[in-house]
Amino acid sequence: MIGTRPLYVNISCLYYLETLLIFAVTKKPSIAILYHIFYEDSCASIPGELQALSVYEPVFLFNICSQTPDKRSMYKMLREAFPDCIIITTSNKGKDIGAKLALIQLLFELDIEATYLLFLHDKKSLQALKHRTWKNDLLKIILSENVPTILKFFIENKNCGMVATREYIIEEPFDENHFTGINGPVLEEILRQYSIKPANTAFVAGTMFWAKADPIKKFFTRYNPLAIRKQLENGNVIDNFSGTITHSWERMLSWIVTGNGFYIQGI
Amino acid sequence: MSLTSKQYYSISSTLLVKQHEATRTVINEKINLNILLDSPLSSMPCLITKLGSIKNKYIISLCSTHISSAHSLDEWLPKLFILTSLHQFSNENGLILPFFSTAGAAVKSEQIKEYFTDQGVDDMKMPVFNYTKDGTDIQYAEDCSFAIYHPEKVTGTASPRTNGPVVSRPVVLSVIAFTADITDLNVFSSVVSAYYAEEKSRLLEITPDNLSENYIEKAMFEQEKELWKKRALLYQHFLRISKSVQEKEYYEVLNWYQQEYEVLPLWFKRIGHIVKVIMGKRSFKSLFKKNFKKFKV
Repeated sequence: MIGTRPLYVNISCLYYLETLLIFAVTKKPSIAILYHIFYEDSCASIPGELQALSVYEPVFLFNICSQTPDKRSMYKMLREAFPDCIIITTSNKGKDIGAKLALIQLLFELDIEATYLLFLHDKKSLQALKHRTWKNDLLKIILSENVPTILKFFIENKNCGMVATREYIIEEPFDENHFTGINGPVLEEILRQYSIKPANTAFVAGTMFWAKADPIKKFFTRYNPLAIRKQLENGNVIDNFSGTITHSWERMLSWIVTGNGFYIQGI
Repeated sequence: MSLTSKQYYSISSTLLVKQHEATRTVINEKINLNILLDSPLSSMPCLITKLGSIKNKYIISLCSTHISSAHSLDEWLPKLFILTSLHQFSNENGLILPFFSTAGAAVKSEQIKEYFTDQGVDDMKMPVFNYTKDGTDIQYAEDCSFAIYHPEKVTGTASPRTNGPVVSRPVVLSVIAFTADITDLNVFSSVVSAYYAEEKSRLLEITPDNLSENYIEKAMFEQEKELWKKRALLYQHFLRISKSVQEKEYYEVLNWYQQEYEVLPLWFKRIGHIVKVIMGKRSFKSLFKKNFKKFKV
């Protein structure tokens, strides 16, 4: 009689074999993982979350918020789980967007040639109704059964620029040539200032996605990430009541890619 | 009386990078380093990788001859930000960036401070020191001290003799440089160890060694306590705003339901119930039960 445990092991092997097959056909992709940590209890679960990605030998870059307590044990946990990782600590400026901009700067300073970037953070959004499911849904993109599929999307579709959880690819409200959402005026100003021309208004809400490195590198070579980070709001800014530069840049991170002729694939 | 703060021993970033590439030498992790930034821009990736992997606590210091023009400072600032953000960078007393100025050289401390303030770093200090190889006096600036020591012999085997004066003012950070031309990390480690052993024995005559250790640990404890307090206040803030945010989301969902479903006529909804029975999402008997619970939590 076949028990459930052997069946589970067989399925895991299948995903691994699929991965090896992808590598056999194409060159092994170079992946950089840019992970922002704000909460003091996140580090315990991160090694498990990222386990499926270790076979790809990615570069791990972490940012821990300077306001997070107990950083020393977090450093220790991360260094034990990912011995070659680089960890920076930055102030709470622009929430996860500011941290990801600092991580992009770190990526450039390390002169890492990555094919794909994976943006992650320890989202909680404790103020929202759906905070419990939000993070789990967004993290579908690092599940072992999904990673080979994601890499195949990129390899087989040259115009695929980003991959994210389908339910979180949403359209920014746009009507009669204007953005009508709460961040509308800020969005229009940023698009004009940085000459970003998105093909459509779709973006990844929650800012956790895979992206091709080239369009991001091209944009941030022209516009320094830290110069953009300087403009972001300090502290735990939310856009439930008024537009913010931080949340506008959440849209921009997607539009930088789609503005180069790529589309966002949902999974 | 001397109050010894944490001591940082100066080492050239060029030496760190060169020896990292060649031999991957590891410096004794108990030595706190003052990395004097004198590498070219092109070696930054290697320096960041090295500093990202060592276990030593370190600070970065700048030298006016290296960052002389506004143009070069603009190129250096993002790199400086990343170097001071790495997790082993020592910032228990705020961000301290010692600046070594030669006579007549301009100190661009305001421009550097402004850049870091824009990036959210408010408590930055830039003590400015004059560096001369023959200097013997201790210099003080912004709660930091700088002293130069003259080892008689700098070899891997002989113990150098130091002859530095004792710090006589309370400071949070002491930077120490050696006049000898240190070109090997192993020699650096042994010179620092020998200096520290002599300094420790001198200190015991005046201040117990463990007093300064406890002072440093207490400062870190106080900082950690402050962070936990702020984190608790943050969670309280989340609880406060969650009421208004979730209330807003709740009414958005409810209004959507009212607009999309409740406005429909009863006969249309009843047809929907029959469709649910056909689809298997509801039992036939439930159509006739008055107390039927439509949605079970």
